[in-house]
Amino acid sequence: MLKLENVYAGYGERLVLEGINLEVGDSEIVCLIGANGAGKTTTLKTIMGLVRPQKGQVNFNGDMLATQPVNRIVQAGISMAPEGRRVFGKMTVLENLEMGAYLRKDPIGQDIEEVYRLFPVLKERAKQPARVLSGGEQQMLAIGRALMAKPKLLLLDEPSMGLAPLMVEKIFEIIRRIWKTGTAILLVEQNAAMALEVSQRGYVMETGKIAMEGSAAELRRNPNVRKAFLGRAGERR
Amino acid sequence: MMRKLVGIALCGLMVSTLFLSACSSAPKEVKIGLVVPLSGGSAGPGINLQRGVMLAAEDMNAKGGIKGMQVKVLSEDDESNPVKTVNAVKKLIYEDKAVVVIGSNASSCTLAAMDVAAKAKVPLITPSSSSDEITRQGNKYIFRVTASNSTQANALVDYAVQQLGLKKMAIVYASDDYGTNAKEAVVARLATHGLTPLAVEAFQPKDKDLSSQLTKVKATGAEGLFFLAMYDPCALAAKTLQQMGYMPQIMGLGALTNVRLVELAGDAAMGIINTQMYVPEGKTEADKAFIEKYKAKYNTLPDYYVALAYDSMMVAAKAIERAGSLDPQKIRDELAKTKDHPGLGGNLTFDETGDVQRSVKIVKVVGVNPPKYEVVWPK
Amino acid sequence: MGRSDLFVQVVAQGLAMGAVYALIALGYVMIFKAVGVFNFAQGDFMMAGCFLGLWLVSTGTIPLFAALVLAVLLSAALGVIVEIVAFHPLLESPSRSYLMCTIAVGIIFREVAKMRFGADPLRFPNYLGHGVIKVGGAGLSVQYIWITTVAAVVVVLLLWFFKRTKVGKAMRAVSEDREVARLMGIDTDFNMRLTYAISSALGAMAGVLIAPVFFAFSEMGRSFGLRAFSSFVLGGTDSIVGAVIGGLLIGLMENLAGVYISTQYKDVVSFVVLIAVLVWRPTGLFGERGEQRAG
Ligand SMILES: Nc1ncnc2c1ncn2[C@@H]1O[C@H](COP(=O)(O)OP(=O)(O)OP(=O)(O)O)[C@@H](O)[C@H]1O
Ligand SMILES: [Mg+2]
Repeated sequence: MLKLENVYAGYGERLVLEGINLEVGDSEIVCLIGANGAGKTTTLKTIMGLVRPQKGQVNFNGDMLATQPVNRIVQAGISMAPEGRRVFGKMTVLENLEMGAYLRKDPIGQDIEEVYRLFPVLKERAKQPARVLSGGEQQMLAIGRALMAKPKLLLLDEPSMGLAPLMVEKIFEIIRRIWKTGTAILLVEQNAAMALEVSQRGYVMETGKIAMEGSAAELRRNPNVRKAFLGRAGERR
Repeated sequence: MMRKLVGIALCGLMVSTLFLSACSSAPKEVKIGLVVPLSGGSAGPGINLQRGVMLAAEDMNAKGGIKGMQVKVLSEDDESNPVKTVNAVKKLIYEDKAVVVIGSNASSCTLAAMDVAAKAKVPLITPSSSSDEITRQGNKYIFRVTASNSTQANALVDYAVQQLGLKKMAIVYASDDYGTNAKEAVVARLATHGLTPLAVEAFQPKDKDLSSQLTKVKATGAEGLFFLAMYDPCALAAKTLQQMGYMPQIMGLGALTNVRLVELAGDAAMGIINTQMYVPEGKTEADKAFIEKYKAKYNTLPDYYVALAYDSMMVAAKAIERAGSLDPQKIRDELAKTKDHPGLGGNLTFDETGDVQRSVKIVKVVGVNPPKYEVVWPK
Repeated sequence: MGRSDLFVQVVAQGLAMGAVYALIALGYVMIFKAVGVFNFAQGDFMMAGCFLGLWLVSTGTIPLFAALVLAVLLSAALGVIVEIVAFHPLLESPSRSYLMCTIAVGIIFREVAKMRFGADPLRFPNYLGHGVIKVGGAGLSVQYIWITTVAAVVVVLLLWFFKRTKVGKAMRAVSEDREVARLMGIDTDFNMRLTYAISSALGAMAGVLIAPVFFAFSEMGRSFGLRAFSSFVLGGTDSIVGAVIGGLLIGLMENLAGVYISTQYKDVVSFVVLIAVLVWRPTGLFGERGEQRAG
């Protein structure tokens, strides 16, 4: 479905991604883990077209995305829940969801209901400004908003960041449910243990390069991965 | 051969003698200095002042000049800036040797240049500066052709009280030299009629909204409003009053008779009255001829600036004629004796301060499209 | 005119002027919400709209009202052109560069107007008539009633636009988070142009509404723009309702102060109140941006 081939990208003079190769298959959950500043978010932004690759290709079902504007990429079937949630705080929950469906011309009522089924709390709060929601609720809204675009591939950037353990469980549960509806997911996470648990495959990034890749089970067993990412989380099990 | 040489020598002698005698007996020039704003915001009045002086000089020269001497006008531009006026007057007197200087337009410019003229003992005639201060300084070399603010205020207040029967008066004035001086003159004359203005409101010349001042005037129910400022703010005031549904008689001191007032304010300008030195009515033969000549040359009617400048030049010419000399001191003494000079806008007499004694006309806006004025006083 | 009539008169005038300040202030709000910068050219957009109207009317080929509507539309187009040519390239630069650019654009507008139309005020056709409705001893001008009505309708339309339409909501989204708005597929460049079109049109509307009373002159953007700017700050810089209330308050205050305190102090009073409000509530009456920053 998605294939990054030898992608170089960065901000102005600063090169962040140095030859990324990455693949997400149809109805697959793939996770991307790595230390702070490795370039995970940059990878997602490059896929979305927010950052332009200087070299390399982003192939989505045969479409070459590298030179297309963001709205074309969304229309092609990719959407993203950004790092730090970044809901529109002054807009209502419902308006946030409507913004997620901005490019759609078809009726969206049913999809809103579906998001409400996935996140009942959003329905209760539909008329409230998003900034009054709790962190977890805002994360649900960010995911719901991304789902409103009816994506074939959903990019999630650290959905568990800053959430209480119970809420983290809940979010991962939801990610699994979304995946079951047939949406492919590329998941960026700090919480490598949980990420590798829901994912089928994974990539490990180190300063702009893919350092390792493999099935989730392989990575979970890999001593380097255990040392770097599963430290305390691994011991807890 | 010898005879031939003698002949040539004699011829040469004759020619040179002729030449020399032609030189010594040829009429000399009379140099008149002129300093007015010819560029910048006040260029409009300045150009008309210049035209008036030029026209008068041409008329004199056509009649053979002053005692056979041709009049030569030397113009300087002061951009309505007092510093430049001072420099221009110095140049005209000391370099160009002008025997009389005419100028300037703004009172502040004339006030600044007066001392230079007095020091050089050369008379300075201002055609259009109306501040009372000018003739209150004891300066013996200044003469003024337009009526002072207080002369105009007296005429206007007397007309408003005696002819229009207005009793409830208000004043709105610009807080600059002209407006403040004019306000004092109006208040003083009202007092002689036993009247005190019900409201006296100031505004900054840069103000773009006069509604507070005018609302206060409206609240007093005044029937007459002295608006002592230039025509632009007056147009704004007329419009604002119209918006309030309140139409007092608006009255101005000299500054409101401008086509721009009517252009800007439209029908809100109807009925405004204003003091005036000259209106091109063509009632006398001299005025008729003046209007004809001006129209032929500039294809428009002369305004009061042209007339005031024309009169200034003529008063100077008459004084030089009487003096029979180009000594500025003698010219000044003759100028001071000017009495009942038949000016375009009425007879002119200089008093001992150099201020003019003259009648003041009052005109009224009676049409706006095209602008039309009527002299309502003297009847 | 009795005391109460005077009060009615002053309040009515204050509200009419306030409505004009509010219209201009809304333009400041729109740009501030979109770019986080004070658009110091806003008053000059008003002046430009006014002169566009004057120019269209003077051609004599277009009916008066059509000319005024066209002037507002052309101003919108002018806003778009200026955004593309002058402001857009600076969008990612430090905001002080952007701010300087708005000042420069304002100067250019004024100088062009001076070159083309001169520095003196020009008469603007009095298309709203000058009927006066007597309320007791007070006279309420039909023109002022029109100004207030048009401003009220525009504000309601604007509120509806932002609350109910997809494009309006998208503009709010862009003003909150431009990058995430792009993630939604919103064309933020188009949005920015639309923002300038609307704010410039708001200024032009204010311009053609007041010019019949106050004339058209090249410096009008400064004298009215300054009051509108105070209204905008008083209202809280990022709130539509705030700008409207701010405008009405400034209009009322300066008129009340001018009549009941002194005309010399009418501007001083508005600024003292403005400063006092900002000391008491640094975010202005309706602002929220400050709170967010603190949080
Ligand atoms: N807008 C930007 N301009 C310049 N440099 C940036 C920008 N955004 C990120 N970077 C730099 O790019 C590098 C990679 O950043 P990125 O956000 O992709 O990392 P990350 O893997 O997502 O880290 P984290 O786990 O902290 O979210 C970092 O060194 C960062 O400082
Ligand atoms: Mg990141």
